[in-house]
This record gives sequence, structure tokens and C-alpha cells, in this order.
Amino acid sequence: MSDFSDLHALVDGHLPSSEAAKVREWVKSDPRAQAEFEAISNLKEYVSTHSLRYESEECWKACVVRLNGLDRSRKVEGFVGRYAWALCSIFFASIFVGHYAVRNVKGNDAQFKDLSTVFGAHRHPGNPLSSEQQQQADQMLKRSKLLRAGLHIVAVSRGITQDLPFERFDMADHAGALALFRIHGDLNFEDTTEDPADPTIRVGVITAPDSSAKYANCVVWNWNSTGETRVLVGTRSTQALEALASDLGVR
Amino acid sequence: MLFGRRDKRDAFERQAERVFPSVFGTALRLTRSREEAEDLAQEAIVRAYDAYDRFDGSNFKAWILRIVTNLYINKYRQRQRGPQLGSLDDEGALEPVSAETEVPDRVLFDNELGAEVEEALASVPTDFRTAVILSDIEGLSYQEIADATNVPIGTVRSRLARGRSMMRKALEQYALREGFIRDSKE
Repeated sequence: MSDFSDLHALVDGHLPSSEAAKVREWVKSDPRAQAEFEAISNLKEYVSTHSLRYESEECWKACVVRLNGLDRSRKVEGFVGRYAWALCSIFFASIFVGHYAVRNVKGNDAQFKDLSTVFGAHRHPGNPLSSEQQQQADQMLKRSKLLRAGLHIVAVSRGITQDLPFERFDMADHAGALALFRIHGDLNFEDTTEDPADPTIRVGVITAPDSSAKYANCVVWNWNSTGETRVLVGTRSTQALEALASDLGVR
Repeated sequence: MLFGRRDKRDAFERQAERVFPSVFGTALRLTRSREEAEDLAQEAIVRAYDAYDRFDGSNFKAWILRIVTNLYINKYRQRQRGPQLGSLDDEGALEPVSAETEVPDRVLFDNELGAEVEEALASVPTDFRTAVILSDIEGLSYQEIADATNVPIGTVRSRLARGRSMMRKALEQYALREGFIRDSKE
């Protein structure tokens, strides 16, 4: 027995031929089925022909833009996927080259707080002078007027700051403690300023965390010819430090 | 590899552009919001492009409308407001499209304009509307509609019959309101 859903399927052409023949018979013999069949056909045709065509050009353009973006990102992903090994190699090579450049070409940048840590950490009593060191110190002092001024070296220590090895000479005279740093490399201290009287010198103030000299003046010289940086630290004026440096022969 | 990708893009774009009015129209009829329809259509195109390698080459329009419908069901429909009559018994008794006392009224159809079809469609609950859109506007087969909506063919048949019946009533009300036909009770 056919029902109304068979009429819909007949109109849509989705009935098997044997079944379709039966339903056609029913439509022919039953006025109600015939009316229903026509109504369905008319409705289907009407909806199909009278539905609106919506303007979609702008939306399509937006789709194309999105597809372009998708293609671009795929292209990049593909490139990265294919050449990941090369990109990684370049990345690591740049790290090594950068490291080399910082150490050997451009010099290091440091802040005084780095040096102040070193200054505090190596305050004397440091390593007592070996006989060889004592000899070297005496020779250095003899060459200057400083021996007469009562300056003596009390300790020598070594360390590393900003990946650069350094030696520290702890000295003392009647005015108090002094320290001379001899850093093996070109180290730029960011928080120093150029001495207006002598552009080859930079001056600054160092905070020594555990020293009696809480705020000590500093004078810094960079020896481009030898690749050394020398820093003289003491609780006295920068002029006095400069004069001492000249006497000591480190300028 | 590069040429392959370019060719694929060209082939996809050619086919998608041809059927895009159907994609956008279906999206608009499903969401009933231009903004959401634009989102839905664009997302469907992007997903279709992603999945283009898996397209079996048979009916591109049916394939992409399946993506639109599934996307709508999974994502947009949950956000839709308003009553959803999807819980109606799909397999329930069918009402005839024409009333028993009524002879099919050709005049009704001839006097109508275009917008009333959309208005009538909008009044039909989503599941039934989807079946009518895919069958009567987009011309998909029962099997293709069943694939697009993830229901058996029997359910497609009953949804179509029910949806058309609701469409008919909505169009009659429109025709009465606009004075194209007279109420038989008067």
C-alpha cells in the first residue's frame, strides 16, 4: 500500500521502477492522490524556480583571500619542514659566531655591579702573594714613586668576569685600600662616563657589597693595543686615582 | 611539487567558484544571518580546500554542501536561538500537502514573488528546512542528502514530505495575507 511519502519520492524520481509503476497507478485511479501529486510537483518546481539568488561575490573574494593566506602558510611550513636541518645549523652557527664576536671582536659589555661583586668577593685577606708574585710586585713598585708613598700590595687573586679572566691586586697605602683589576679582554662598562679632561679614561662609582668602601670611585682604561682593560678602584677622588695610575705605570 | 600545489589550487578554485552561490545560499538559508552565513561559507571553503585530496571526484557540489551542512550542525546550530523542532517525530504520520477539499491551486504559485519562498523556508524547523533546501533548491539526491545530514534515506524522505507540507502552509498564509487567494471559510 502506497502512502504520501511515496508520492514525494515519485516526484523526486527516487522510486525503483517497479514501485514507481504501482504509485503511478494509484495516482491515476485516486483523485486525492492525483491532487497531492500535482501539489507536490508544483511546490517543488516553484521553490526551485522562485528561490532567491543571493549576491555572493564579496564573500567569494574573502574566501580567495583566506585561501591565499592558507597557501602562503603552507609554503612556509613546507620550506621549514624541508630545510629544518639547515635552519637549525644556521641558528647554532650564528650562536657560535656571535659568541666569538662578542669575546674577540666587539668586546664585552658589563655593568659595574659585576665588578662590584668581584670586588667584594675577592677582598683581602685574599690569596697571599707567592714569592714570585711578591717579587713582581716589588719590581713594579720600585719602578714608581709609590714605594716611597707607602703603597704595598697585600694580595693577588684571579677570577673570571664576563667570561674574561682577570687578576686583582689588592693594595693599601696611608689613605686606605685600593684594588687594581687587570682584565684580559676588551670590557666596556656601561655605567661609566667619559672623563671630560681625558677621553681615553672612563670614570664611575662602584658599590662594593661587603667592603668598608661602600662607594668607591673607579677609573677605567681600555688598552686596545694589548686587548686589556684596567680598572683602579679606591675610596678617593678620581683625580687621585688617575694620579696613582700614572705613578703605578698602568696608564 | 610546487606545480602540483598550484594545479590543485586552480582546480579547486574553478570548481568552488562555480558552486559558491549554492554554498553561500545554503549557508544563508541555514543560519538566517548574513554575518554567520559569510563565516560558515568561508570556513566551509577552507575546510574543503584542506580536504580536497580526499574528494572522490564525483559530485563536487554535493560534497561541498555536505561540508557546509555538517559544519552548520556541529558548530553554528548550537549557537542559534529560537525554537528548534528537531524533536518532532520524523517518522510520524504524514500530512498531505494539499487539503482534502482543495484542488491544487496553480493561481497561488503564479501570483507569488520570490521573497515569500525564503520567508516560508525560514518558518520551517532546521532539519526539515535542510532537507527541502538540499533537495528542491540545490537538487541533491536522497542519498546525497542522507550523507550530508548523517541520517538514513527513510528519514530524508519523511523530512522532505513534512518540510514541504510546512512550506505549503506557510505559502498559503502568505498568499492569504497578501490577498492572492481567499480563505475558503469566508
